Amino acid sequence: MSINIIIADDHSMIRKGIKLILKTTFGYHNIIEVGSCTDLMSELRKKECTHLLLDIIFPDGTALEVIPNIINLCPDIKIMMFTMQSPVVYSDVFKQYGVNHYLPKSLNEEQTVCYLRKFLNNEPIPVDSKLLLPQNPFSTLSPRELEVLHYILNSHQTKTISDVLNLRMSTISTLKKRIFEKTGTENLTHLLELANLYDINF
Amino acid sequence: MAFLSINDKQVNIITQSLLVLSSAIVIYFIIGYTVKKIIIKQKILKLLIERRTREIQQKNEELEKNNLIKTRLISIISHDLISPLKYIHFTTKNLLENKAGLDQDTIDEMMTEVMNSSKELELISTNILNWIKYQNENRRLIKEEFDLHAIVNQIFSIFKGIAKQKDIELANEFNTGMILYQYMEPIKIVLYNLTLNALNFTEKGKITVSGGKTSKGILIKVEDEGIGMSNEQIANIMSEQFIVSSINVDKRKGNGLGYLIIKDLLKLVDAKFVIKSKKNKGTKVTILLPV
Repeated sequence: MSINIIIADDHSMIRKGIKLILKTTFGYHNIIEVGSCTDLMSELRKKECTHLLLDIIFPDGTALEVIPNIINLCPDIKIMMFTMQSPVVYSDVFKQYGVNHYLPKSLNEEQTVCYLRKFLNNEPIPVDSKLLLPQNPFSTLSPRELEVLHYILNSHQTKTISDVLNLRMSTISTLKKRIFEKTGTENLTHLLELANLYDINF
Repeated sequence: MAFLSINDKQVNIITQSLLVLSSAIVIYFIIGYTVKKIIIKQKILKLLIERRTREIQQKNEELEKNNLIKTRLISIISHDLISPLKYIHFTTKNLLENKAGLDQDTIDEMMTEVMNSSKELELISTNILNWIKYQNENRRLIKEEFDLHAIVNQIFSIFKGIAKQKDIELANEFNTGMILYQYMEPIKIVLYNLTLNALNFTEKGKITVSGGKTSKGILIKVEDEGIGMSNEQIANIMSEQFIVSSINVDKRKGNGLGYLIIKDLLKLVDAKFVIKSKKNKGTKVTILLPV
């Protein structure tokens, strides 16, 4: 079976860099690039892809929102999360969707190649001691809470979040309350500071 | 004698009671005056406290807003500066090591990306620096005389390359020799950001900067023929505490820093601004600077 890789990241420089590594080191040439959730879904509908490198934050949404749709559309696709976000926070959440590969953007070139090779060969990622970091205040958040967190950090109002995520306003308020409780913060300013401290990008 | 003595006694009593009465009146007035003085003093103190509280609240709001921009900056530096720089390094190193085995198309594709990305990184860094310069307590806000036409030309010269590449015409319609007595640096930074926004959201057409002196102040208009904004997007930009970022026409990601800086600096110079936009027709931003 031929391998078709799709790279979803909102930075074109990062897409091109990975694309070149995939070309030169692995010899793959069927590589599609997309920069938004919308483009990702429309490309996946057009072409059958075997592997997806998926960033978490996009200008038009987050990976948390599209992953269920992706799995629905392409049940066999292999997904690797490709992000600046702390794996401690997100890896458990993505495991729930059967996503076990995680490629931090902070890795150097050698490590990046190594992780990509494991992913393309369907081998488990080596356990990196760095990934076993101590508790992070955000790691106890549920997928829904992480989704809402992204919008809170971007200063969206409850109404907007409820429209975007298609959830009741009261649900959003409860989720917001729980995020503040779990992270032990009192207001947006504290939450923003904590997010910066723990490498949560938004 | 007896009468007199009685009279004497009476006089005595009267004088005494008069004395007591007058001293009572004096004490009454003294107390009254002191109480009044204290009340006035208290009122003054209350007013002072109220004023101080307002000042502190204002300062606090300002600090919180600054904090929002700072937090945003940290995210921008790690996400929009460090990662792209890292991948520029990966890519150029990879190109150099594998140049024999690569087809010309791939090399061109990668070089174009490195070229665009490094320009982008330069623009973001400039903008961050622009904003930081205005952040210290004793930022020297001094009005100075400058020629608006010349300033716009200066800004256009920064973007000449990008405009040419995208085939966009930059028009400076300010009369030559239009001298303003205003805060030059903030206005320059705002114009820089508005022109950059116009360029990012215009596929082809013209970007016009124009304006003039009116009775209410100085008008500055930046107009483009780009993809425009929805009313919701405009409302988001105008609202406090909001960061707006969207993908531009070249499918490159924005970071929301532009309008944060524009709003911050316009507030600093007491200017007002209005955005008018039609989807796929263009956007016009009008600034009114007080005289």
